Amino acid sequence: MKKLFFEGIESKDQPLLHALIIGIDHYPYLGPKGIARKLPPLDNLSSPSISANALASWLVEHKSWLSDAKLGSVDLIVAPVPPAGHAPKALAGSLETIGEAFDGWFDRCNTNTQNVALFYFCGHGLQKDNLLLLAENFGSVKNAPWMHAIDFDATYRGMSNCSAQTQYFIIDACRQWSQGLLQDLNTSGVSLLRADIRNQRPRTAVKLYGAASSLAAFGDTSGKPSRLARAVLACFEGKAAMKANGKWCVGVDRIGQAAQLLIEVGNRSLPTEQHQVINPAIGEFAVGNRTLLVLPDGIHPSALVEFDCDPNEATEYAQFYHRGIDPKTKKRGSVCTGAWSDELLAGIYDCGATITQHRHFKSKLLPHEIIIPPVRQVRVGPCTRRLEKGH
Amino acid sequence: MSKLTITLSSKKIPTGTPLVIDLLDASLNQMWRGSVLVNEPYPLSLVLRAGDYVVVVGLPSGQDVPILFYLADEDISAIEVSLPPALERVGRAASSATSRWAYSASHLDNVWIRLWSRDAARPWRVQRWTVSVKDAGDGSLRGEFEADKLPVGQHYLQIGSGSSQPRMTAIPAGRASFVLRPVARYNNDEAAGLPVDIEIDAGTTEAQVLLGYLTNGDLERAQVIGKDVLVPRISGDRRLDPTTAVLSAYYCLACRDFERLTQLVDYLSQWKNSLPDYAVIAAWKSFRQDPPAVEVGRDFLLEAVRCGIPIYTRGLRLLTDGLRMVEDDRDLCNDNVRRAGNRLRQFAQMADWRPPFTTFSAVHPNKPINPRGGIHWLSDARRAASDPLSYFPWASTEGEEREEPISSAEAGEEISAAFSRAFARPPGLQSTRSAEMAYEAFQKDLTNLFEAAS
Repeated sequence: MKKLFFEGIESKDQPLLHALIIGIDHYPYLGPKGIARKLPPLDNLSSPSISANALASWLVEHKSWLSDAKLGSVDLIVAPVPPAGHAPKALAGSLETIGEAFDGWFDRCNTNTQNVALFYFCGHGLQKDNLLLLAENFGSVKNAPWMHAIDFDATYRGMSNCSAQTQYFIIDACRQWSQGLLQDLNTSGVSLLRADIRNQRPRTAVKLYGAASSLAAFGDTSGKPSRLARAVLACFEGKAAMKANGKWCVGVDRIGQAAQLLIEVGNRSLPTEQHQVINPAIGEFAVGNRTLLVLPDGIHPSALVEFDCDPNEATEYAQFYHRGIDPKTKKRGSVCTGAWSDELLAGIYDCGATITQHRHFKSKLLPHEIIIPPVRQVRVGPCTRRLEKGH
Repeated sequence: MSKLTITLSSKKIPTGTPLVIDLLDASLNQMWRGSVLVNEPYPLSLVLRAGDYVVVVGLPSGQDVPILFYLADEDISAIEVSLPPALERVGRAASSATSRWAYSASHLDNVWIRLWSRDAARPWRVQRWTVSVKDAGDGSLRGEFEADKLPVGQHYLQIGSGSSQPRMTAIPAGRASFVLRPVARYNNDEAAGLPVDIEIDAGTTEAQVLLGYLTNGDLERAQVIGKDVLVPRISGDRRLDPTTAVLSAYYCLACRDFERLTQLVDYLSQWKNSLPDYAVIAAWKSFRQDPPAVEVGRDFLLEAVRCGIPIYTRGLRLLTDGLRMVEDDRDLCNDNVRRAGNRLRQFAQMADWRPPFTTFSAVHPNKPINPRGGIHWLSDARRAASDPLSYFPWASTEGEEREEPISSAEAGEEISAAFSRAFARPPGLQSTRSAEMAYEAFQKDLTNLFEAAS
């Protein structure tokens, strides 16, 4: 467990953001040995600890971006796979470690109704009636493997007893079934806190799942954070921003939708079997929206812009370009023909497609296209050439 | 200065559909947000100077459509902005899920769909129905049937294909139709799964728009529709359909609008014997009110389980969670709670938590099954048909032969009921008619979607 940043906890009047960030790569009891014991057919991962580190570091490095709730604490639990040949150390991501960190996090969040509680888990997950998140020591007890799984739904319910009225839960884990899981009647994880039905406090508590029910979330084997972690960070950096009172702000109510659009754009360049379907499930919203981040002056958010033609058949013959009107930018274009995507600062642009020497399709300019985060599809058209008689 | 109105015009989206728009100035600064009705002027309480402005239309499909307009003169009293036709879609599906899909025989070959119904007093039966399936033109198929003629009660659409496990999706009584789309993605685990997903359209346009925003995680716009459009209807409209009323109640529960929630619970009580969501909502209202009435809430949860499975997935989640919490409370838990919890978990464990309407794998509405295997549905049914006694020892053919021919309608009803019992009745209980007859009837009543679509 690593406490990256911690300040102002004594000041109960100051709203604070407290983050509990967990990334588990290492599952020593899974893999072939686990399969032989009829545990779910899962193995070690590589990106959860990277994703958790990236999110924690981002919060610390951008603490000045936080709105009214300043950064209170970031508790980081990472359990990377030990390098080959190294003896495994004590399990950093065990259920006991997570439980202890959770207790501290809950207590800190619980000090002020205006606090923000941010929970991130990246690792293995399994869905049945409840979503189970696997701790590093999952499977260590031979006849009771589920005692080291976290029952996320029960934990979410329990957090309704917390005073912090703004809560955000990001679950970057698969939600698949396994045959064994479905046949095992005794699957039930452990709640990290008991939900008191007599103490249901009002809260805005948003859930963002890295996978829709029964589907997989996707990590990255090239040393990058997971796709969802990257999307969330992009949202924090402005992809989920709206401009209000002259400031670009990121509110809790916009992150899920923006992350979903970013993931969908990523899916388009991937084979179908690698498509990720995230689920920005909305939980409770009893206290309305809350601005989490305010982008500093001088930081202008950008949007991912995808260009194609109307009709779509013209796209493969088109070279696309854009020129900024506000903000003013030079003309910039695609190198070759075909669909194109580019990252543009939010603003107003002239966009167009150049099509030369084609019988049916012609060039077209779209003046004054609005580009706003997170994603904008610019369909240039109509590009159909009106043919003269006799052609 | 005259009063300024704004009209969002569209050729594809029905007139009167509420959509949330943002009005931005030329530097993209938000000036106003609210809901407008498509093709109807909306009075803006703003004074706009001449210049460039942007309207961002939030579609329930998850898309944001920004439209630039120039206000030439500040004395202009009406602004009209048009949605680009290529981007108009009001449905719930996320934009990329279906963009490159077109249905084909390979998707629909062997896909069948049937309708199950029951009212509070009777067992589940397969309904005889007529469904027309049409290519919706956006890569999906739309199925229409006379849902408004369904009796008040509980209804499921069941889809199946080949040897995959059939799936039940709850539909409310009243106006309802369905859309079939290809499954979002395949992987090895899903190879034996159904090739299509079913999406239910039910309730008023306002309810569908709210559901669309919620499904795509657009909490901010969902709140605008809930607050500006749905909530005002609650007080004034005593003819709110059950689907819309239930969705409005879940919305009010999530944002703790107890005043309107009380009205809605009162209104929904007219369907308390056939709509499990009523008791779920009443239970959670009791838990969340100040002070909480936990015993009352517990009893409502038990009533909900007795009534059936909630039609909304959100209701199934709340019922599952509520019972777990009651089970964990020493003072509230009792044998009835434990039994109800065990029964509900049979469904919750086999549920698909993605769709807004409750969906689970099942042969029969009372018998959820493992979506990844367990019994192999068709081969099991065939074996059951050839040797019902060995396969379903609780189904019996003894003394059941009829000497006189019966009408097809009569046979259909009996066979359907027998089939239901053969699959639903636990071993050791009362014997039923022939499972073979039931299986034959089941086969006859299948609606093959490929045939229907072509």
